[in-house]
Amino acid sequence: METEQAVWSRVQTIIADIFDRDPEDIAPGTRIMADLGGESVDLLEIAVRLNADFGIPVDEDTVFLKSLRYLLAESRAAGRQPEVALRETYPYLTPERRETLAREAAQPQVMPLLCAGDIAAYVAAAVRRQG
Amino acid sequence: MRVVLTGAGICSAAGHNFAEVAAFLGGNSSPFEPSDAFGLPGYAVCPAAPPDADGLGADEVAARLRAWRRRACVQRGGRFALAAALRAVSHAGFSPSCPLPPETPVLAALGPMLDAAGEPGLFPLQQADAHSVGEPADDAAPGLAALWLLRWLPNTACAALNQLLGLHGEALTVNAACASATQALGLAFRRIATGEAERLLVMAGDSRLSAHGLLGYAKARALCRRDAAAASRGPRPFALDGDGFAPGEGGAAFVLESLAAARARGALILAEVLGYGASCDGGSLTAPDPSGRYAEAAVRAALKQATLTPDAIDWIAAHGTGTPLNDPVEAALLARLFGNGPAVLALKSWLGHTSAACGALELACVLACREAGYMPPIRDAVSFLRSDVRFVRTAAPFPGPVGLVESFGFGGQNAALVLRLGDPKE
Repeated sequence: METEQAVWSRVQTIIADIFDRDPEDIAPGTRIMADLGGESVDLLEIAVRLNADFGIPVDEDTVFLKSLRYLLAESRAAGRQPEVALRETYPYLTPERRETLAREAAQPQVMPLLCAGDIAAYVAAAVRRQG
Repeated sequence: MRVVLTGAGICSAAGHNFAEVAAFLGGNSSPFEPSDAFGLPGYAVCPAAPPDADGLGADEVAARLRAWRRRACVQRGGRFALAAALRAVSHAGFSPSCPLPPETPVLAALGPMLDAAGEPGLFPLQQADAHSVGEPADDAAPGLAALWLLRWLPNTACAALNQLLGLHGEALTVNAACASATQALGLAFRRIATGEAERLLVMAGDSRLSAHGLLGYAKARALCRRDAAAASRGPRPFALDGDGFAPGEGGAAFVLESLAAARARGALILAEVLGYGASCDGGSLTAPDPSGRYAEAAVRAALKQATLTPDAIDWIAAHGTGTPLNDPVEAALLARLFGNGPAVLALKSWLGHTSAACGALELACVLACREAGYMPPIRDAVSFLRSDVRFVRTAAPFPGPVGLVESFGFGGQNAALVLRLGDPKE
């Protein structure tokens, strides 16, 4: 089974390919939208490449954190802790990362927060599940 | 309104600006190569670059396109069009500090995408790849890029140009087979002549240099067969032994504007467009009407709009493909209408057949030749189909300024444009 480092290096290459960058320019903390100028078509390309290269199912809502703000709003409305909703949906992210996301998403007018490392964490978990 | 050309851009095997093109057309090295590198051996082709190179040139425009992240979304022919368009805009005197007005419409003449083998994962679509009910769509053809379709949609290059230049006027892609570029120029001319637009950008680009592109014309028996040793002998337009066309590739673009608008901004004027005519044979889907009567109607309509008689024409950039179907019909038309008057150029003997782009690219070559003061001969032809047409047999001084561009395409698409080269005050 691939180590997380091996998964990261392949995800890094895919993202670098799609954004026409050198792999070294892509760090786990690189923000896909704000730093790389990503658009929805780029997310689509990433999803297709992850699916083809790793042979894993790719849920675009999850891997690209598309429902993050909705989840937070919903859990606030229901009087739940945001951490619970985020843990259910993004169990593959570290608790620290989920906490950062919850804090950043609370600020309006911030570009989507998705980082390259979030995508790699999703892939690593999917690869682990497949054994 | 009087209509003038104020900027021209080129991206071709002949070069990437007037000076390079004039030097190429004044030289005698063969641009034709064996088709082997493009996936289907046995023919002569005229590539702008090897299959793995982009052929965009070495200037700032080429660098800008190479740095543009979406370049792979545009097929090869569309990228030639983009390079030519950016050059035309700059040649017309527009720049980032003085940009083309955002309402400027764009007319694009682009060919179909035929490079099936260049789309990894597309063919053959295996049973196992095919999307079956209940599976996520991503499972179909897993090797295929998410937006492979953009390379196949005809309007992608036109949309891309609007993005690159920040334009928001009407964007229209024209496909009329090998008459596409001439028809796009004609439509642009009409829009300005009628006052519908003050200025338009016309770009054209095409490449059929891929295994499947070549296969299309090989199966239709339209290509000149050459083994690798003989491939430097290209097609032979208007020659007795013309045996087919040689596919080429490239792009050309023009800024057209009203004479008043051009004068108001002190633009350099390359030529005035005087008349346009178009028609369709309404007969065979491939071969031209043997009588040439509808092609003639297009030429006559262009002359009529220009209020000129055939004896006013100094030069003709003929369609001249080298095929036994086109050339005799076109040569007979030229003899009927013009006799031995105008000098007849056949630039496909130098560039190959650049398909949807040919009318624009050949017009750009004519402008380059006039600037250099000479006309290139028809390459590789020894005995011509007729003696009552003045085919350019040896390099000669460029004649008078008034001329005609003819483009006749598959489907009986006929288009003709009459122009006077140079500034009208000359």
